[in-house]
Amino acid sequence: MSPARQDGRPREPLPELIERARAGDTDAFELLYREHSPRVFALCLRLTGGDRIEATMLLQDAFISAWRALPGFRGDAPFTTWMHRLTVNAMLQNARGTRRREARVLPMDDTTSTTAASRGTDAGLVMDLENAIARLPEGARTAFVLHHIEGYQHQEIAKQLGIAVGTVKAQVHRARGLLIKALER
Amino acid sequence: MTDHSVDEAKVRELLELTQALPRESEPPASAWEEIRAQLTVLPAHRLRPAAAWQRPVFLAAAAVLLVAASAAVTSVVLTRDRMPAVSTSVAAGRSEQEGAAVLAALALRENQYLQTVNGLIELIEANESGLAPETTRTIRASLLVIDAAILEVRQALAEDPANAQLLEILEANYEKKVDLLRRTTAMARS
Repeated sequence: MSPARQDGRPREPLPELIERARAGDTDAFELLYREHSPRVFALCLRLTGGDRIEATMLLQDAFISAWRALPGFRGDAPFTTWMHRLTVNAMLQNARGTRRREARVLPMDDTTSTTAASRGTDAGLVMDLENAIARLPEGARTAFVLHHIEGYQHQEIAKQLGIAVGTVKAQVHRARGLLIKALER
Repeated sequence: MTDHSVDEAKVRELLELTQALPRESEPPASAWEEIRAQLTVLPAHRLRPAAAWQRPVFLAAAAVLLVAASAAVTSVVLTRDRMPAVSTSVAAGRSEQEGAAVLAALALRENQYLQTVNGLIELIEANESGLAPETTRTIRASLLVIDAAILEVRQALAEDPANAQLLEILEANYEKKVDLLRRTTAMARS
């Protein structure tokens, strides 16, 4: 069965799209964006603690970086993995530039009534977890999201964030503890 | 059951729940348009110097820097063949070369910022009715402050092009400007 898009038109193979985008074809790049942006945006939302404006800006930064870096994309890693790396890099650059997100991170003790109100169903539990992740301190959140949701190894995260492997493990451990505590409330 | 096994069970539950988190989320429809605006190089004739969001001081400043970068590169090229053998002069020449390289790189970077800024300004102009007059005034005032800061740092850089701290401050100011314009675009469309 040939792959098809939601609009029914046949989907162009990824390597060809990448090749066309690399040559400066913005229409091809748009197709890449349409295909990959939902996955990247989910990551952006989690890395920014659920702030949609911040997440949208991060998504845009990531795809603009991708456009600039496409000539150097060799296909050694899957395009999705490459995009995720660019997203994390964009987040780190933003964090270095303004540290604006740090000021917004709420302490885990500051749980809201909406968290408790949505308990009782699986969907509610998932929503509780999403809210609790958003409230994690930034370092713990980034490590948890990359390790447990995006499937990165501790070493990869350490390399990407420029921190020690032990620090990543400690952050993941801390995040798990805080999340368990938050979900028990 | 021991404390340790209770903890393990809780972690297992947490990780199982984590697997149920959605892996995709649709971004706002306008996100792509803003990206696209930054991908395409806007031809000069599309710039509107008199437009409300256009900052003449910013464009003038960029032009000055491009001229300064070009002049510095020319100066290095012209003097390269007649560098004196005295070590201090060599060091001074090297510093001059480094300065010229920094200015040339900066000119390229500024050009990218200009393209981004112009693309965003076009989007804001197309959606300006979505902004309250008071918001528009406040944003314009903020942009003026950022532009003044950019101009000041660039003047300092023209004197001391190898100053890495000044470069960092300049970059931060440009980022601030792009950030503000992006937020304005998002507000105008919300």
